[in-house]
Amino acid sequence: MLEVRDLRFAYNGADVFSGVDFAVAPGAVLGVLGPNGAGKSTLLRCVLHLLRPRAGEVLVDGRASAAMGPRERAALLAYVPQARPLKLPLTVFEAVLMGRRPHMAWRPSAHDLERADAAIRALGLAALAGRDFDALSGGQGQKVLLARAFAQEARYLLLDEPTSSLDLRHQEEVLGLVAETARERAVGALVAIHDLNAALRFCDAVLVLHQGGVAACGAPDDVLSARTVREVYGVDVVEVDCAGRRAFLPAGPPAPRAAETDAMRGGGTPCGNVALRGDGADVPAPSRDACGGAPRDPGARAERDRSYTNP
Amino acid sequence: MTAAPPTAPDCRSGCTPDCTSGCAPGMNPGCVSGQALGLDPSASPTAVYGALLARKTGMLALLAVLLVAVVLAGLCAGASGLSPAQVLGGLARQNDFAATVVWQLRLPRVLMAALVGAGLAAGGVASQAILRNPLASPFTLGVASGAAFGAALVIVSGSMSRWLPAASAFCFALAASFLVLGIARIKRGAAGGSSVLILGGVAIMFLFSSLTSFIQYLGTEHEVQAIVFWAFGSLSKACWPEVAVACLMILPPLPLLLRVSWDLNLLAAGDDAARSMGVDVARLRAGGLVLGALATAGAICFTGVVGFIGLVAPHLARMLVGGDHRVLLPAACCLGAALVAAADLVGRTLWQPQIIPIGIMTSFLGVPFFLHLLLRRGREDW
Repeated sequence: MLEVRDLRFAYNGADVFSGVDFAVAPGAVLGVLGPNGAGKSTLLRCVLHLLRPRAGEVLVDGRASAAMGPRERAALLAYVPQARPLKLPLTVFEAVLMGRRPHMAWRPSAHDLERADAAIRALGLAALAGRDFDALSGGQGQKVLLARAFAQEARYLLLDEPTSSLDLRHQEEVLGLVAETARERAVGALVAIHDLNAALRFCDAVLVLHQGGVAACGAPDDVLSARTVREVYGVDVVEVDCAGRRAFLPAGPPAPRAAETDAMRGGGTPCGNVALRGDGADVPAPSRDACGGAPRDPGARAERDRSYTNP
Repeated sequence: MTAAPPTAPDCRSGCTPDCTSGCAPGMNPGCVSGQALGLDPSASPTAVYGALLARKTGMLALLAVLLVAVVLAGLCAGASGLSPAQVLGGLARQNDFAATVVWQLRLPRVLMAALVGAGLAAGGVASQAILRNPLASPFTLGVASGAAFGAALVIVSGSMSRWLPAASAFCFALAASFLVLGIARIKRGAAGGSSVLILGGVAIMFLFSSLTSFIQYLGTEHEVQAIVFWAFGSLSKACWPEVAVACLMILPPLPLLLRVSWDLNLLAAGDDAARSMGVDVARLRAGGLVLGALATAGAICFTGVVGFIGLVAPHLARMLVGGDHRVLLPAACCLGAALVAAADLVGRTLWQPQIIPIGIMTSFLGVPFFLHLLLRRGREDW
């Protein structure tokens, strides 16, 4: 269990967030949502101890992360930063093999090579193994970094917008792979993500950061509503329900940032014959309880996926 | 991770179309890559890596052979007109003319040239890795200007000592890099980011340069000449005791740098990524900087400022064997050593019996070689 308790962080005296509590169980995917600047990346970096939180603690399988050595922590937590390195004068295989660093001696063992090989194959990069990293496209590079994190064989994956430069197909593949890896290898994943609809489908739980704290946390279906989205992102959305699968669509221009009034917000505009629901008042306010990040029932998800592909 | 079965065809997830075809635009035809090896595109990633590694190791062996060849050529060339057979005979004997020339004049000089080249190359590899900047060299961190100031200080003091200029140059070279490190520590606490190091290094470089200029301004004509001549770089003072001391200063940092080669690789992925993979980035940076400065200071304190090798040998090696420091570091050392030894060889024979200072020759010889590889390559720097 990756537990975060009452975490607070400040840059130059100004709080970025405070009172952040959550837990990620092995096998679960917890999505971290929130507008730009809400502190998603900062939260991930605090959990990794790349930044020192002002208060609170991070427990990895019951042990304080702050008390661990860098190598020990690296064997438990794998990280893919948001920014791709500007230059990495290595081949794809070498770049992925780097993820073995916490386990590896100077000379990689057969097991190290095998793990790197498997990670490269899992992300469909086998044909690129001998390529220079710098010659790859943005999306390919992002997959290489993910493969490196997979090769690290950590207990928890911390991914900062892992799909930001991927096209739709690769987004689906990568998030699907993260969810599958989490389930089958009992790996916990903490994923900062912007795409609400992807979060609805791939995350077992979501944590919404807003205005210096946790605005909501819980199962995506419970937490994400048109009302929450409007409050957090300042955008009116309509919620589309298609064969049991929910999605949000923007329903108008974003609300003005500063003086937001009820009159300006308006309501979601129904469009066509798609069923709409949850346009605000009838949805209960998001709760901060039940923030467990435990794996959802995989049967239910599989059932829903089937109904989606074959309505 | 839960990969397809090992025999499954690759690229099952539909990479972008160019992934199965030939070289990407800008792929270096000569570089070590899967395509260059003509591997079956369905070869397993591990097999591709194995083939790459074998090829890199082969290239490294080739560079070692090149170094030995250059050293032997350097032994055979000189003003006394000995034939290669006489030189080789002189190596085996003692107490005749050929033996004296080879053992007392040529061998220490050639070995010193090779040592200096290896030290500068190692310093260059370390600085480029820890500063994550292809334009960096230990000279960027003020090591050379510190050394020049140290030597100038002793020269104007009128000391006739054999060791004092070198000792002072060595100390000031290290002092310069410790100053840079201190600046970075103050600025960023324990982390010490790379841009702070570069800017601090440039500031320290200018500080020592102006101090040297000030000494020259105050000095006599004879002293100024001596300082300028020191800055050219020269191997003429290389004797066995100097070679032995240089060995002690240049060689120990090399295995220590090689030991952290995985960490140096990781640093290229970014500070955060490296730290998340278990690297103590601040310590690695400080350690790499000090080891690189030691190797560089050891190299230049006896010979003066030999430019260009520290910048170029790592690049040349990277073009030939790629960026994995486990191979890159020894390859760069071999190349640097061979380049300086070759530059000395040309400098001694071109205008016989005049000797062109080594610091001038390295650039003459290195620039065309470097430009050739740079222009042949599609990509920009590293």
